[in-house]
Amino acid sequence: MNRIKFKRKPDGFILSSEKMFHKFYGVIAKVLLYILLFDLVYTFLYPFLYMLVTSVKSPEDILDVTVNWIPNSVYFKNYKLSYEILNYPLRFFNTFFVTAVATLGHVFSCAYVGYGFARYKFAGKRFAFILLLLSIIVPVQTIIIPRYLLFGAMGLSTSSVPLWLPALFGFGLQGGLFIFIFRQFFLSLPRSLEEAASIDGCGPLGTFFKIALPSSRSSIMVVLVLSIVWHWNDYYEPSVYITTQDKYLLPMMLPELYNLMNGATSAAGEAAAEISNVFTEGVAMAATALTVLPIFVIYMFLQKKFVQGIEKSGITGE
Amino acid sequence: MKLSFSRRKSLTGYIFVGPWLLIGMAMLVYPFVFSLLLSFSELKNIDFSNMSFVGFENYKKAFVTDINFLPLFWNTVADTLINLPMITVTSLLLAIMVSRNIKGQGFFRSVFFLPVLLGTGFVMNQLLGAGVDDSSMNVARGILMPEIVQEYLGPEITDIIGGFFSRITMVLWKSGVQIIMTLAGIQGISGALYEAAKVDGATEWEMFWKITLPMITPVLLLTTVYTIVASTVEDSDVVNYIVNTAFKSTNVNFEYSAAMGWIYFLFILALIGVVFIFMKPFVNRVSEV
Repeated sequence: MNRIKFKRKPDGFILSSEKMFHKFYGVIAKVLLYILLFDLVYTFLYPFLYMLVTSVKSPEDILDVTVNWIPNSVYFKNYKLSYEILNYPLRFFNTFFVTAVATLGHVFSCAYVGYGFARYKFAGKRFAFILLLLSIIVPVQTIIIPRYLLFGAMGLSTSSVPLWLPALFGFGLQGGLFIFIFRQFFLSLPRSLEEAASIDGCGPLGTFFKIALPSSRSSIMVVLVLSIVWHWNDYYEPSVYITTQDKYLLPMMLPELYNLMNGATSAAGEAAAEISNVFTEGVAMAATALTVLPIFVIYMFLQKKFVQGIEKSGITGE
Repeated sequence: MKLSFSRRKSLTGYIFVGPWLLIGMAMLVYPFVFSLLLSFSELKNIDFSNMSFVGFENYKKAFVTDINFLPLFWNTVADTLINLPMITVTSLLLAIMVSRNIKGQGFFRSVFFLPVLLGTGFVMNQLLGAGVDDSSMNVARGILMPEIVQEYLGPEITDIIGGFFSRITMVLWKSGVQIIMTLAGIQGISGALYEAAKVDGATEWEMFWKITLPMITPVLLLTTVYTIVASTVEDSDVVNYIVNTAFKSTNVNFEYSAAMGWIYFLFILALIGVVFIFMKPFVNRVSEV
């Protein structure tokens, strides 16, 4: 269905020359639309391209103003160096562990709670719903200190446990939002299948795990992708809880690396010049690329289902 | 004991929501109340054994004594207020463009979503060069303005236009989720409405204002609220200041950090309230919230 139609006579009778004019006009509009879209695509991709190109620039190429998009040589030493500085395998595993546990926890716990909100009436539901809204809108900065103390009392305040434990119960990074997403989905899901199951003797838990959860695949996809992305990139909470170097997550390493780089370029003197030959922007960009690479790989596989998921999950209130 | 059907159903509700409610008391309600109390207190010992009530002392410090907090806070407030309508409108415009019958719709959609993969944290700010230093500012600027034009206009005008462009770039980069949500909303509108309008001789322009826009107001409200909530987890100066005051500065000050956290929360709450009051009359059917 082509929705681009320009002014039509109410009678539906259009002179042929006028028709030609409108067709021509339509083509022009379409070309302009594509130009605009590709300009936008460029805006979206530029920083990524910049990151990739800079990450393979040698120190000489970075200082050379004539080298813009195409480096004189592909300089993989940046990657080697940043791989070592990041201590990549260790930090990758740290980040992967937190992200995987928290994301799986989110998917199950948020679907579980969201189902309860969508399907059951119970005393104090209003209060529970207010709590849900609060958990969405209260910024983590406001409540971080008591939470920190709480985990401290449990002896967990310097480990990565506080980063994934709340997610197992539907809290944690944007947990409220995910519960809300599932609630909206289950509200839009017809009850007939679940009713049939319960008539056949399936208990509420069985109904949830055997009927409701499998049919919420689209919402699971949305929550999965968003949760992975947010946990992987989160920098704020990890920097509060994790203090020992060997427990650091990947994103926490980047600010240190950038500081090193900026220090190297701004400081004067020969010693600094020597450092700046090693810590160039290229290294920082290579480290950044290594940090976001896993997310990109995952997204490439999940992308199509994710977009379909948002359309079907009923977040938009259809 | 025999329970009536509705009673049993009510108890089943607790099977699902009960555990979450209990944990919520510990993870949300308790910290919420505690940080409020903390913001009105003074800690005599660092181990919280001796808290005394000092009234609005910490809030007074934020607004009167501390010269660092207010500028950072106003920056964030201004940023949020400028970005909020821009993100809503931008995601609407981009969603409309992509929702048309064009080739490569999938490609455009996934490109628009790419920045979301960087989260809202440090990496994105580095790549956008949001106010870090001049050399990386140029990354954002070069995007839309060729160098020749920059030289021609001179530094001052370039600064203004450059600032404008980097703002737009930032807004575009923060609209990923919102674009997809708005797009889903647009595609959920029944095609029959447009067919009927076309038969009655409506123009594209009229159809936008009379069909598309009224039909997606609930989605717009949702994206706006989402934008506000998402802005709280961004790597902003005020957020960093709050956390540094509590955890990383040389003289740790929990109660002051709590007070600043509450000021920030009240701003977010007020903003959401204003958005609801402003947008509610235009929303034709809010899905039972």
